[in-house]
Amino acid sequence: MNDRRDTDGRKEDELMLQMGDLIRQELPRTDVSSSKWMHRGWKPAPGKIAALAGAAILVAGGAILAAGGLGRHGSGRGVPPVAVDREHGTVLEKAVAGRVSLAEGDIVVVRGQERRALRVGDEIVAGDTVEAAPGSAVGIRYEGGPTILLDEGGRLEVASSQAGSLRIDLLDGMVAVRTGAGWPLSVRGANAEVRVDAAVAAVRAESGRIVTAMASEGGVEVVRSDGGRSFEVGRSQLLDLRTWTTTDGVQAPAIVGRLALVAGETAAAVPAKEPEELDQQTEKTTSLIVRIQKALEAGDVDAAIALIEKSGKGQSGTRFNLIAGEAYRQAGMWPEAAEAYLAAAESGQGQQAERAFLRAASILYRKMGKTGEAARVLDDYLERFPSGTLLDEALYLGGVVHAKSGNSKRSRELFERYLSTFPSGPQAARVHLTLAKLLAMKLSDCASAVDHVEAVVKKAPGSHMAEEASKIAVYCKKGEPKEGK
Amino acid sequence: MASVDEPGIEAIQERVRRLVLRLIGRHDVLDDVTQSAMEAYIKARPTYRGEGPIEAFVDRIAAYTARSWIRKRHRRNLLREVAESRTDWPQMPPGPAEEAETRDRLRRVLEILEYLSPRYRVPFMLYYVERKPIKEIADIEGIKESAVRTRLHRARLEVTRRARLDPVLSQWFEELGGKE
Repeated sequence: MNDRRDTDGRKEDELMLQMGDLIRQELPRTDVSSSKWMHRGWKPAPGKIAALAGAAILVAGGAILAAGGLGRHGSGRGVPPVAVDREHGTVLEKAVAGRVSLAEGDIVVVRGQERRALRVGDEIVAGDTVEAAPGSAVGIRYEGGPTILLDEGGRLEVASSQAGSLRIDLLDGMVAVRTGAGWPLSVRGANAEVRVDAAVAAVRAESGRIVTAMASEGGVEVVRSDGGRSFEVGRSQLLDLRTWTTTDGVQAPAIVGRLALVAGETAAAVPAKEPEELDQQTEKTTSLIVRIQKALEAGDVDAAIALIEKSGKGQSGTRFNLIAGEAYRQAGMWPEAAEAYLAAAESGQGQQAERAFLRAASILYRKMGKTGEAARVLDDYLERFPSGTLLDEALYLGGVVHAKSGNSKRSRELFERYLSTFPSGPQAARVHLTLAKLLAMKLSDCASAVDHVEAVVKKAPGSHMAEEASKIAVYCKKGEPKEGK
Repeated sequence: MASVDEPGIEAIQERVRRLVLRLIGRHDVLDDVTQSAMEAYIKARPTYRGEGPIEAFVDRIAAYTARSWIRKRHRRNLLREVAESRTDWPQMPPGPAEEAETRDRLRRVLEILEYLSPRYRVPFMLYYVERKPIKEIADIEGIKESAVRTRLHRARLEVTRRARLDPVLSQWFEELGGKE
């Protein structure tokens, strides 16, 4: 019997290994490189990109940004399509705007008074209205440029196509724009205008939220001036158009344009700032940061530190402090690292500052054992960024740090906030466990602890956390909580 | 902020994409899941403290995203999608009979794996497809090595049970047995 089981076990294992080989060898036989995405029928996932009713999309093949001139939402509305005689519904000039690169389901084009189905390879001309029925999707590839993807139930009109420029009015549904860099520019919210070419993307919106995916070299991302990649619109702000270039093997960001989002009814793009117009101090700092980063990437931490201490005097920018913090961290110079990160946290904005706060707190707590200071830093973070993008990290770390510093009440508060805000967060099971321990052993509240024990067992059954949780349950059943046990 | 020896974003994207493909076993949603994983990576990147290889950090995020995606899908939808994929397998180029047989076998294997919950499927794929050591899988999954072994054992039992019910795979199973 045992022999039989052993043989079966070997056979099973062999089968599994063969299956693994089969999957490993055969599954990726299709090209999985991202550069091919555009040609492989990608479409935006429902829910991933919110509906953009009434939005206009402008694709430009040439200049970085046109100065001003962007009108109200759906700004193409006031500008008649140049290639269509609307009165008679005929196409005056057949200007090919792009070609259909993806046609899934029922896709229809309305050209003048004619209405016909679209297939891959068909031409799209100015004045065309393209409709994607429910369950369908269409991609229009602009020659040499990005792909506009219209999801199911969507309707768009190619408003104009002239002088290498394509403008599309999105009448209904949702769109995504995929640039040549491979990453789509994702747009959420209403009344947004997106203008993209292979090198540059710009966004104008009156409400909603704009999210840009990370761009690789050659691609462009729209970022806040502090480097954040998503932003609420509806308030005045300046946005940078940033690209990535590689110099001497070092990848560095370069600002190629700037966009003004103005609250209210109008928002205007401003001309791109020419690189030479960047002030000398910015260039000097950028150059220093690049040199420090290059030294770090070469593994020469000493050289990076030398650069910081020799050339970095008087430098107080967020980016400089962040890279200084990184260099000190790699050198194990914890007080200097914490100081640099704290300086970056104070001077920085948005995600950069958030990151600096958390790194400073982490170093103070984990490397320097200064739980009190770490707790204060995290409390500062929570006060400044009550809805920060790293809130989950901050709440978790804050709970841990406060528990270590003996402030059980505050620790409980932060853990409970974590669980109410991120009930399925990556640390949820661990937070339940830590909170259960805290309640049972520090706050003598076994009644509340039991709920968290159950949550751990439910969220991570069979794990070591569940084992630990069951020990707390046993501990609570005995009814004799003892400090520190 | 990039650190020493950190691969570029393209390499990370490629790594994420390959791992996600192997974990979810499907091409049609690969772009979306990869994009989600990359977004998660970009968001989580500032929390990477250089305490381990960046690759492990990336793998953890990719595995977590793939697992979440698998979990979100309702079994009924899943069955429908699998059924549809029988006729919609455009990624596989036509080839000679042997290749067709291999493709058919792959399709059946993937269908079986679709039935595994992410709890078992992810360790299974990481171990048998990615050939990662138990310790690394434990790190990625955030569980003990013994838990990984348990999950692998259960996954093996389930996969074997289903493979025996499948005419093609059961024959394959017998052929493997005959080689011994």
